[in-house]
Amino acid sequence: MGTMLLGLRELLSVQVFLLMNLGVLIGIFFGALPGLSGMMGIILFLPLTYSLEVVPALLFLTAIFVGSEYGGSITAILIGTPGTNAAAATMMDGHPLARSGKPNTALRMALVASTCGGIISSMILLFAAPPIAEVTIECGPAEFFAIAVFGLSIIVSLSGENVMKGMCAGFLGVFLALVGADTINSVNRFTFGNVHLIRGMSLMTVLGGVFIIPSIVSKVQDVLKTGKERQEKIEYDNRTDDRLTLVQVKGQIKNLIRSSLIGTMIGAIPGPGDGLASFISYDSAQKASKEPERFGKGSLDGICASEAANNAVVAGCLIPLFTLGIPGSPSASILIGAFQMKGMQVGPALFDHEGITMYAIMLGVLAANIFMYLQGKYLGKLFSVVTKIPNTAMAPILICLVVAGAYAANKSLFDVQSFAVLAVFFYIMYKLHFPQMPICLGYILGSTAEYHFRRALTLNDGNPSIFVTRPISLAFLVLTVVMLFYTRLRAKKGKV
Amino acid sequence: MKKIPSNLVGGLLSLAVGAGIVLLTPGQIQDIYSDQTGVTSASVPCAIGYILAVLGVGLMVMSLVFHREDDVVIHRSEEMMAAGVFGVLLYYVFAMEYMGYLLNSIIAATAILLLQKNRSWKIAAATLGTVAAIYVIFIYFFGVQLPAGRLWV
Repeated sequence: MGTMLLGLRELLSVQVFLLMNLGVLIGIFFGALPGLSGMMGIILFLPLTYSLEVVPALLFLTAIFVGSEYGGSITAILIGTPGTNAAAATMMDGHPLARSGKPNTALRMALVASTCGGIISSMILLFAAPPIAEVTIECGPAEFFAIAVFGLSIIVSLSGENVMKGMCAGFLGVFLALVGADTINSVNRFTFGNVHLIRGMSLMTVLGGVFIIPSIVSKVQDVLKTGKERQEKIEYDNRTDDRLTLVQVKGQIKNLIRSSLIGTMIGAIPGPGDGLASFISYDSAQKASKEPERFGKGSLDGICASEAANNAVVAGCLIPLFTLGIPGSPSASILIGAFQMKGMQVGPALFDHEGITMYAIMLGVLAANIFMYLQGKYLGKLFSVVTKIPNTAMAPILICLVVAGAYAANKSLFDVQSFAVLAVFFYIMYKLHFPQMPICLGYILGSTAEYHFRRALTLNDGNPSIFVTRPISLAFLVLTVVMLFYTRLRAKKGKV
Repeated sequence: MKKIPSNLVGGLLSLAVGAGIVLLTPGQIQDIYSDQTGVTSASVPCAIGYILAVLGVGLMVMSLVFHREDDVVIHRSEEMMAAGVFGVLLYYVFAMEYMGYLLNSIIAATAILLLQKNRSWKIAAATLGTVAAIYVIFIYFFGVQLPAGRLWV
């Protein structure tokens, strides 16, 4: 407790306060704009922290991480273009709700859910990090594979009425994740002799091709349809019938807690990341809901579940980082670099040697979520400026921004070119009513699933029994089967 | 206006992609490492190819045998617009190496504005100004050197 109070004292400075707020604002900006990402923001601003002390530097970068998770929901809701892959699940209900005349309600729900998710997971980080780390350290390749399979099974829920199309999309996403050098023995797969493909398809290539380009094309086509600006343009003007009420928030308490716990646990497991957490949480909320048919049409439950989970991942992925020295997500891996820059080696010993700093950072994550809420609440109008941009201008601006972002990720024109070519193919799939989310989910999890599947088999001399003899792995596989049956049963009941 | 049977066409597409993956795998993945597990670098991609092909056949059976179809309505003018956007996008990304990001972006943005029959000079000016601002921000603020273009270097 004494160490915690000393850590709190580290936070109480004007410099830390200003840097954290700046970090949150930068994070929101980077998360909101398609083509940019929180990780890019952390990488870009990392050099600026050289001259700062340890606590301000690390809190500034962590605040960018926190802000970016919420930022992705802004464009997902207001213009139907997710700024991050985690916001793709938010878009499923956020954008329809905004188009129905309630953009403010959707944004506020996302903000409240993000804040609650972040606060709950920060509290868990503060008090329960070591015991959670003890569980995650038991996870080996078999468990990671089982978790990935569980995540992939959500494809069935995301497929809508045509499960076969959803599975096609999901397996296509998995295939895209496998393009490039095999992570186990570095054999090139489907590179066609092109050196640029050795590192695989970048996230921007897939995300941009799946979501952003079809969205841009739809905007252009809508202008043609009406001959003037799109009739369903979202008007953000804070009307009295477009406000999130306390009753609506209270109705989401169970959803918030469940989603935050899911996000924290998924974040604590190295690898899966915020995208998986938001999809699993969304799926869980749909299964738990008394009105599952409302999901995908503007349900507050869907927005809440996705946002609470993806923000809970932030503190969740700091758990293995602080306790085991293993980053829980790509953004957390950049934070390792920041720690090392300051002469600190992350791992279990860090709590013994730098306890005050660790508590300052953990409390800082909690504070960053509160700052994020305040900025979201009072700067909401500023963020909503994006809806004032005419659709005729939106399309060219988004294309230029996405292309710049795709190039910036690896400084590779090939990434940009492959994104454009894939976009044509994904557009055809979109027109043929193949769902988009399973492609994204398959891409996020495909590489992880295959890698751990093969590693687990290698560890067990090729015997697949490892997946059912290890308890955590078996538990996730059983859960997968149960959830699949439950989903289909519910779908059939819904039809009857 | 035209109706397309999406299950049938989607099934053909999935079958084609799956068959393509299966046929290309031996040439594209040359796994020379022996593996006691029997699962090699080619195993999972090949399996995915077979699965996609089977799912494709399933969709075609759904359409042709069980007559469960999801018709997609295609409007020629909208798809011509989409083709125009993709044409501009493909030009944009492949010409960037030679023209550079800034000039190429201005050309592409102008082309998309013209495709949308934009007649407002204010929107055009704001759009092109924003594109230039993106360039400046990436170069000078983020420190990302966007392509300068071989023609000018």
